[in-house]
Amino acid sequence: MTDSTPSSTGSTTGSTLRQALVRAYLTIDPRSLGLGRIALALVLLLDLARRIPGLALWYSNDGLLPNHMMLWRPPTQWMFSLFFLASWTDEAALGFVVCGFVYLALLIGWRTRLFQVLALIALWSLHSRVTFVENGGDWMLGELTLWTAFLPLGRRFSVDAVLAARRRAAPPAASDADADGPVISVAVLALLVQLAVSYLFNALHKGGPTWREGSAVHMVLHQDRMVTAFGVWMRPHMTPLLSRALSYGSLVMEGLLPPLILSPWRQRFTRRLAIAFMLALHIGLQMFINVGVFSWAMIAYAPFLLTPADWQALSARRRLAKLGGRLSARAQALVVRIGRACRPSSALSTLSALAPPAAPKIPAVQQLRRLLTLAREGAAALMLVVLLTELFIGNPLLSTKVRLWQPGWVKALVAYPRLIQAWTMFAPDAPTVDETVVVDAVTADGRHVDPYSDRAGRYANPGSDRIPARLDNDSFFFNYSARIPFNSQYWGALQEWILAYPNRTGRAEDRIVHFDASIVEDDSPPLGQTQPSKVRARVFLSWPRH
Amino acid sequence: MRLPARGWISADPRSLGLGRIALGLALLLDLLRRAPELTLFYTNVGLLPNHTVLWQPTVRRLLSMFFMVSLPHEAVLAFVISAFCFLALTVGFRTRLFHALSLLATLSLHNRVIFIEGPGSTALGALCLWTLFLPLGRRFSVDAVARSLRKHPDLTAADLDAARFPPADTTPVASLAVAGLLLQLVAMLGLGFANRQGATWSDGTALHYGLHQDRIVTWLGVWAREHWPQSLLRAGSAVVLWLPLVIAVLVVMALLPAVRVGARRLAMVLLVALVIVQTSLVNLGSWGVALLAYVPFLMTARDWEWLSARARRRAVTRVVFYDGDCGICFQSARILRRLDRLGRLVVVPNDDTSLFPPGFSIDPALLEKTILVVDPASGRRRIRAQAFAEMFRVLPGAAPLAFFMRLPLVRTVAGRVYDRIAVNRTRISTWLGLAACGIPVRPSSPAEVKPAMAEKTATPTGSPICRGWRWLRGKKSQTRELLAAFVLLALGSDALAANPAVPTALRDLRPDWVATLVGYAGLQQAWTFWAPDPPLGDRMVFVDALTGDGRHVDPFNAAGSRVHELPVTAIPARLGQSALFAAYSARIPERFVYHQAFLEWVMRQQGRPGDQIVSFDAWVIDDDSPPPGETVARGGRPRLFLHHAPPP
Repeated sequence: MTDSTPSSTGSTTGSTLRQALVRAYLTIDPRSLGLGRIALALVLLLDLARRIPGLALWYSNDGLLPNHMMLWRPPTQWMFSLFFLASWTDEAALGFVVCGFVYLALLIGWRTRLFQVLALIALWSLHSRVTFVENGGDWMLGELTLWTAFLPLGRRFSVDAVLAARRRAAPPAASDADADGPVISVAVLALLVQLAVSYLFNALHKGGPTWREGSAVHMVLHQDRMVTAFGVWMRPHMTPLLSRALSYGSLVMEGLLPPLILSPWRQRFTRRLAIAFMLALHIGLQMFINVGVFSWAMIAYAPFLLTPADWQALSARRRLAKLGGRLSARAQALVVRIGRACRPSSALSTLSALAPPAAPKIPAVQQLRRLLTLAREGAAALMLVVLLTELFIGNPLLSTKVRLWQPGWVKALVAYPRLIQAWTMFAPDAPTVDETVVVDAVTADGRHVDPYSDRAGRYANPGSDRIPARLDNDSFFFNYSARIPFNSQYWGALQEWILAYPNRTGRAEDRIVHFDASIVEDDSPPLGQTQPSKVRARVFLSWPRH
Repeated sequence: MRLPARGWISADPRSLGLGRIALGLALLLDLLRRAPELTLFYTNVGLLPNHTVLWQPTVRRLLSMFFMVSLPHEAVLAFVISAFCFLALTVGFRTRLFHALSLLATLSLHNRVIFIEGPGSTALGALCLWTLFLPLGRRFSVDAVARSLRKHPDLTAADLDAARFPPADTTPVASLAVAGLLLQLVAMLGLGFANRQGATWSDGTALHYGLHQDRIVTWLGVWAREHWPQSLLRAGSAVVLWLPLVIAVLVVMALLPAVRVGARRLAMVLLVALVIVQTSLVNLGSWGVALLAYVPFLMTARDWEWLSARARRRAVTRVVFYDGDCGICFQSARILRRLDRLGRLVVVPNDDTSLFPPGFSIDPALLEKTILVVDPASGRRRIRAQAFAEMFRVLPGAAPLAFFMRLPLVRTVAGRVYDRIAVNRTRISTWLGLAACGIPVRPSSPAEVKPAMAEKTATPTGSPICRGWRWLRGKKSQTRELLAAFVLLALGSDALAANPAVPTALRDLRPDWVATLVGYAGLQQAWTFWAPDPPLGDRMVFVDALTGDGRHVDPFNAAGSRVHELPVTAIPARLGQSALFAAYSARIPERFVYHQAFLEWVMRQQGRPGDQIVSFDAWVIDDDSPPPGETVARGGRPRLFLHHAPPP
């Protein structure tokens, strides 16, 4: 990554193709990076917060995915997670607190470089511990965190920026476009490619009947595991026409987004349209169904699409400029106050004292910095190549046509940072079958209870003769329900967890003497109808085993 | 905190510096001995997969970063990182940080395989923990040199004059951690003695029985058990039994000022003797190096003065002529001056002949080309890389480096490296930001203001959190002492609970949370090695596996023993197992929950296609060690503890 100023890059018009390409694909405004950092940190905090209710369930050995079981039969050969060290709930809680602190530091941009790396480690740890219940949203968030780790997210709108400005004795204004030059890095290209390919393959893979006839949105609304209250309310109002409009609309938006993101021409227009499409698509999706952190992770990419022209347009609006200036001044004042309060002394009474001293320009140090920059760019380029090869592995559209051999080290580079590129959400078809898992457990005193549903959703004991409307599972539970019937290696943990029911309730009479765990499925109603049909249940795990 | 530098709470910074080096080397040796068994015990293709240990841990709560490691290359990376931390601690680079990281690394290494750990790892971990509270980097460290370079920015060659040089730091360190460290040593040795109340220790046959542990006995131990008369073996038993107690008493006697120095010196000598006796007869893993690492911490200021006086008695002097206009040469001279605490080097720049010692006649052209070291007594001159070797030879503690630089091939390489640097010294100096005159360019900055000074002028403003934080920063040493006291209480109460020799009334004093905390660190204070008696019988595990081509092999002993021939009818003499492998052999037959991992490991052992194992029987043989006066074991009892065959 290098910093470019008009004087160092020559003419701003860019007469050569190379300059044009660099400007189009490798350059980003530091204000976009600053805003992107805030968006990213907020989504990371949201991701952490949504995991808290299931902390004991997914991150401790009292839950459904004990660390020893995940290490015994790992979903992937290469995993990195500090949460494998946590066996007990309090240990996992401590890990969550540390993650929260890291994300908060990233949010305010304090020691940003360090906390970018720590945030990446925290996120890998959180996600890789529970790969069995992860989804595309987790991948997208991890990939955003990975690519931005190569970029200087703390140059604007951060505590670091305030301190640096004070050190230079030139306070930046929110509207000052020239306070910091644009950033040039391979990671910018990687970020754009990442976003574009996720939409591209999601769109290209959607060739099934539900997308062709326009019933996809209608079908998705009948996924009771993930549908929201608004989605349930919408069901009777989802006419065939509306379903077609929404299905085709989302397909068109997904299909248009890659060219809009990657277009080298008229970027001011194309990028703005891309942001608008992304907001519409993902806010709409989030209103209908709960897909975990997916929508918010995708929205967090949006600030990185903002061009300098957008920032100039924003600063040209007087009110916004004023508000930005006021916010910036307040933030600086706050940093000064905190700095003085925590390190007051005559010698440290100025904020500049909080910043590290400016190092003298030593040729060896400068050369080392250049080398480090080169190494960082090289690493980003390598990971970009890995991303491109992974597209040929994870996407049926390519993998069925081109058989690409991946060496082991490339597979490891994909698996460790979860750089997975399998973009098949609701593809080739929206699911036409709804499913859930229920447990029929008999207690010592003869009652029938469902310890699983009691914990997973809003129905304590739904039974196996129907799937009730809106189960209200979180994304972890609905992924677990969808996968556990077909992964017998993890049944032991499910069995132990069910049998530990009286430990959780604290009542001895809840001791379980028998249970059947079943997968319940139904066919979603065709377009124009509202009632599911053909409910069927299949027991996949019984205890005691016969 | 400055407390009276007396008895148990005070330590000389030189002892701490030397102790740091000993600790770092002990940690490196401990890591090195584990390296050959990295795959076997630290990966999921070995005998103790992480999932097995996490599923059925031998201690309820454990901390080990190695639990994240599943694959061999991950374990190698973790070993390399650990080695880097230990090396940085040894040389004293960012000592506090790397000390903390070394503690984490060593606890992780030990706790990952706690099922097969011995007392050595606890002793080493405890030493690493106690010394964390002490400033180990104040002497003999990169940090100390760097600190001195920062504090005294020598501006001219005259500043390098030994007479003007500030005296070395000998201010004693006072901390509860010193007492904790000494108590740790006393507990290890004293409780070890107290727990040995069995009949074999009373009748003096303990060593005889100990030497019949063929898994861990050394070749010298085998020779001793076969050739030493019973009287000598009894005397050996008495030494092994009583020596720890004597050392513990001597360490306690350091409370008496009149005998402190003598008692400590005797304790050091006896400790070294104990280690030599024990480790020459049986393989106890890292127990020996761990005990040796405690020795430097017993050294007093009087010992250092004695050593210093002895060293000064050797009137060794070398005159070093260097290029005074060269930045790196001047910086090298500054560093050498700081390493030369005995004042054996007279550093002289070549640009001012008035500074030359009288009677020296040097060709200025030679000094333009190379550094020159002259022995004034013999007049012998050394140039280029060998000049550095000569300087290292006379510098305290650097003689091994001089020896290394004089090795045939190294000598040639060092000479070439020196020549390259010498030719390009001006360019290198500029590249490193050193002025031609060698004065470092370092602007002073407000950040260099001492925090202590800043805190003194602090005004009580800010939020309660900030005020609390400031208060804590101001009370850094008090906080550290409180933490040390807490550790002392925790380990002390654990020692009371875990040792059978402690009266029953005292054993219930340990709260549960203390047991949990001690368990996390893997520092359980049960000193029961060969207590109450050494084992009266020996044990060996072997596997009789049938390969695809019909051969019988023993993959288990092939992986860790000197002998792996089938059939096994009796335990062969000296199996030559490592301490970890020996402990695994002794414990696995009864640890049923780990048998599945054992089974999977055996079934994975194959080289050529014909080597593929189709079925196996895992046996344990227990025998009775021969009674005193005899040399052949009796009553070998083979027992099948695991059988695996393909389903019919």
